[in-house]
Amino acid sequence: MSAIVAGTAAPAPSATRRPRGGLLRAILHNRKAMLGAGLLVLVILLAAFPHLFVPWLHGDPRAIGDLPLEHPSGRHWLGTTGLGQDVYAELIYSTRESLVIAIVAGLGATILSVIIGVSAAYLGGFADDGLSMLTDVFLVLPTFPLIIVLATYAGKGNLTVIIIVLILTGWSYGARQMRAQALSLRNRDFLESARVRGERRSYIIVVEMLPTMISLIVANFLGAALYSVLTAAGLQFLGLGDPNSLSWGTMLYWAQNQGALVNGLPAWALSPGLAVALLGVSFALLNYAFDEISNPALRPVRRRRARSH
Amino acid sequence: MHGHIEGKPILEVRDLSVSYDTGDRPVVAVDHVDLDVHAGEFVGVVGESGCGKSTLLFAIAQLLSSPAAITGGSVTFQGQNLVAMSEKKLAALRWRDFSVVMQSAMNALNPVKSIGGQFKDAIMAHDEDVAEDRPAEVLRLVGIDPIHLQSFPHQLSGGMRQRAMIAMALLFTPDLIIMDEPTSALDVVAQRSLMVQIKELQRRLGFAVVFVTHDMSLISHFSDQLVVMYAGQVVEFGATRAVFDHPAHPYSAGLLDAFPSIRGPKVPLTGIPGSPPNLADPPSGCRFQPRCPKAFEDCPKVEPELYQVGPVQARCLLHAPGQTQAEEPVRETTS
Amino acid sequence: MTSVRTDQTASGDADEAPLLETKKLTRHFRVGRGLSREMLHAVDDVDLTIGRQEIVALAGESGSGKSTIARLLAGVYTPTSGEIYYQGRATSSLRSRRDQLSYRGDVPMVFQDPFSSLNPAFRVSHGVTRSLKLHRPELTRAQRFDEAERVIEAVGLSPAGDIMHRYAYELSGGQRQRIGFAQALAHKPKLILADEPVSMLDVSIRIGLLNLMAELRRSEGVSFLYITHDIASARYVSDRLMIMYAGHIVESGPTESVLANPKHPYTDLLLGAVPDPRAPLTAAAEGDTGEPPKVVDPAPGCRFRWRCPLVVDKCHQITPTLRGVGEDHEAACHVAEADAGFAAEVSAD
Repeated sequence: MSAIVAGTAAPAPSATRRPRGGLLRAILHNRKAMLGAGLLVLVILLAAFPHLFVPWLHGDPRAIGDLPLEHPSGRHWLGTTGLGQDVYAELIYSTRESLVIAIVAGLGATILSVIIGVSAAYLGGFADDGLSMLTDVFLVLPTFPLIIVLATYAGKGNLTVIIIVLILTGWSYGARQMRAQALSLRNRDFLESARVRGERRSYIIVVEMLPTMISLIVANFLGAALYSVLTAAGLQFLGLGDPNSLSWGTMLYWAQNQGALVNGLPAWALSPGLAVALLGVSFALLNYAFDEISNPALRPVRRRRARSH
Repeated sequence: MHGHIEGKPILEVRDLSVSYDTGDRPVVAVDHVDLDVHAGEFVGVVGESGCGKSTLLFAIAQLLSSPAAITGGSVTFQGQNLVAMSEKKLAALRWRDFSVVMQSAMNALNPVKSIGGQFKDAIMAHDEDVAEDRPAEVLRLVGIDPIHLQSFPHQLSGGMRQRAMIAMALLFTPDLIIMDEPTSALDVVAQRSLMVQIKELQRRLGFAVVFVTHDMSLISHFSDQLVVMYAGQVVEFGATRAVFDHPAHPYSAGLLDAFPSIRGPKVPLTGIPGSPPNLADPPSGCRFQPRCPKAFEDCPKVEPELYQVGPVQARCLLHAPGQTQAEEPVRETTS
Repeated sequence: MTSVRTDQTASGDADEAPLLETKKLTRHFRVGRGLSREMLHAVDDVDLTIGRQEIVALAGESGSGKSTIARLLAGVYTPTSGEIYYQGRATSSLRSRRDQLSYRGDVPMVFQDPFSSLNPAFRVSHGVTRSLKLHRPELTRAQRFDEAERVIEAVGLSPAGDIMHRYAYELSGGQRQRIGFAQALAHKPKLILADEPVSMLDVSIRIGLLNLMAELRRSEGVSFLYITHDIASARYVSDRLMIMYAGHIVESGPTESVLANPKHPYTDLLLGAVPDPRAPLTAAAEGDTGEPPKVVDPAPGCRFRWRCPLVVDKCHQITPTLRGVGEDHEAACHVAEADAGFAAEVSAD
């Protein structure tokens, strides 16, 4: 039989092409990705090696100091707190806890939303109805009041509790998206092909379906991490966190408590908030960039006016 | 350009080029295309995926959006150049003098509005004086009971939806209707019925049609002029029967041969090996040469022009003046 | 000559039984909203047979039920009623995973859409190697690799070693469909269900795949059920042709017989509508707008009667079944059957 030579010309690239080895290159070419990644890398370094950024500090940054409520100076770049603690040192050392909360709560919420969303879509029928209803209930619950109530009753100040509460309130949004995408995938022939081939259901969901949902899952994680960062800071600000912990939200709490703004120390009040915002921005930028990289249709288009006569 | 139709063309496309700006390299989807459409003429534009026929259509109708853009050439409709026209002047022409029928009626019709409602929208948008019962009239023209003015698109069958689209295009009796594969979503009986209907309407109302399709076999019975496109270029055109009986370009010949017949003797066919080229990096010289059974040494080196070959024109070096004339394939027509 | 169908149960002897046979195969779907009890009759009382090394074409328009038949035979849907017999054994009796896997190994399916039939997250060899793993467990890893290369070459993709490592987006539509065939071949199948395998490909590429099917029938000894809406391609590649309309098979027989001598008025209508550039335009049926019906809770009677030029009273009351109208040629039409009977009487004189 004559073997017809496979088209030697490379076929036209399809719109759903995902860069593989070129992921790094794609990131480098995308401004949002670069900025977001840069910020995130900075935050990770701060969290992992805080002592590199505060080399003069020996001991606990929470140690009470001699000069309370100082303005920013050469010795204390951002001033001191009501207890004489160096604001800058606290800020840097707080990065770790905030990042940990973001990542752990983000991951937990994402895993939960994947399990519930994809199962609902694949199982269909009553299972789908039940899980969807569960999702909807959690979705419409007023999260902030709920979080406050839960955190107050479940153990004020406990970091684990905060993380659990964040996961429980953060999964439902993603579950809706997962279900929607899994449903659209259900009709794709390659899943039916696996079924006809004789694969087991569990195999199909885990090996055939999930890998094609990676971009949505990652996007979901970034969104959940963002949500966690902001909400955790909010909870701690309200005093529902551990007042002795080293985190940005707690810093905000103390700043408020000890009247930073009233005492004319805006650096103390604003810097933790800014830090939270920056971490949030890095997640948001990465989220947009990820979308753009995996879906070329979303990329910003350079417009060129065509003039022809 | 064509001996068989007299008079000045109502649509003259000259040297039209369209590029997609996709970052790495611009992809030239339509490459210096010329096209003439006379009043009342049915022009079929045929080609496979990636040949640029739909892009050409959208470019003519000035419906391109970024990253696609016209990068050169002109589209002269009834004496006016559409490419240089402002949106305001274009809006005045649209639907009144030329209209467009899309490929999938289900995508083009608003699913939450009744058919009559959408017709009314179109009428109001153009501020034109039409009779009260014009919507009913056009529906009758395409063979749909006017009671369906109250129906929603999903309540109509596929064939009826396409007819409704055509009715909408006829609201102001335009001089030119551009159609982008309006029959491909239909089954063969509905397709045939719709084509016959379009031809009948054309005869009655006198509008010209530019019909884009991949189904050469279908268009053969309905078009006056046939344009064959490949990789963004026109590779052959002429009177339909002439192109069918004496295809001068190896691609047209190959394409015709790719349709098995239901009548007559059963013959083994070969189709055309390989696949259409990547437009971001087209082959050197003639774009068809990597797949061409008649390619010779000049083909990768020289880009062919359109050469006159009897009643048709073909973009093939075999017919370049001065080239030793190759045997022209003559098709057997079964009676 | 009228051939009368004897009502036979599936023969017990696997060698004599046709490769695949269905008896009164039926599939209904519940439609409508909420607690609606309306049933869409996608497939009703279908009897079909497929022999060894045979290409059978099942032709019909959209909504005729042909894709549902493919999915019934592939085990995606279970029949509402009726039975499928594979090598003499009813598929409903295949309970154990081993039996089911064995059937799926023998009867794989090739899908219509080259752009969604391959998982974009994996290399194109993924489906082939999984098929090998599931259905040829005796092979070692190295043997699987070799066999994967072999089937990819066998479908005309060369060099196989290179193609195997590509991702789906790097292949053209025609190449992807060939991979679909390779996946089916990896099963060492007896019957390949091809659900409109070329409809979404460019015209110039279709012939290559149709030729591939004929070649595989010859070289691998496999049968095909070729499902299509394109009669011309059905003629090009098949030995026998079945025409489906609104859930019923309305005509069946050797391809050339059915095309040269269509007995059912729908077949006639279909053939008349197929454009053939080499032949002049045939007269279209007057006023036929060409829409096959959606069959929900139908009353008895022929489903084509609303469009049929030959309709008589009987057509409104009794649903016709496939009856012999010629040598090995059957049609489900009261008028055709009467004609054939009449012709037999006349020739008997």
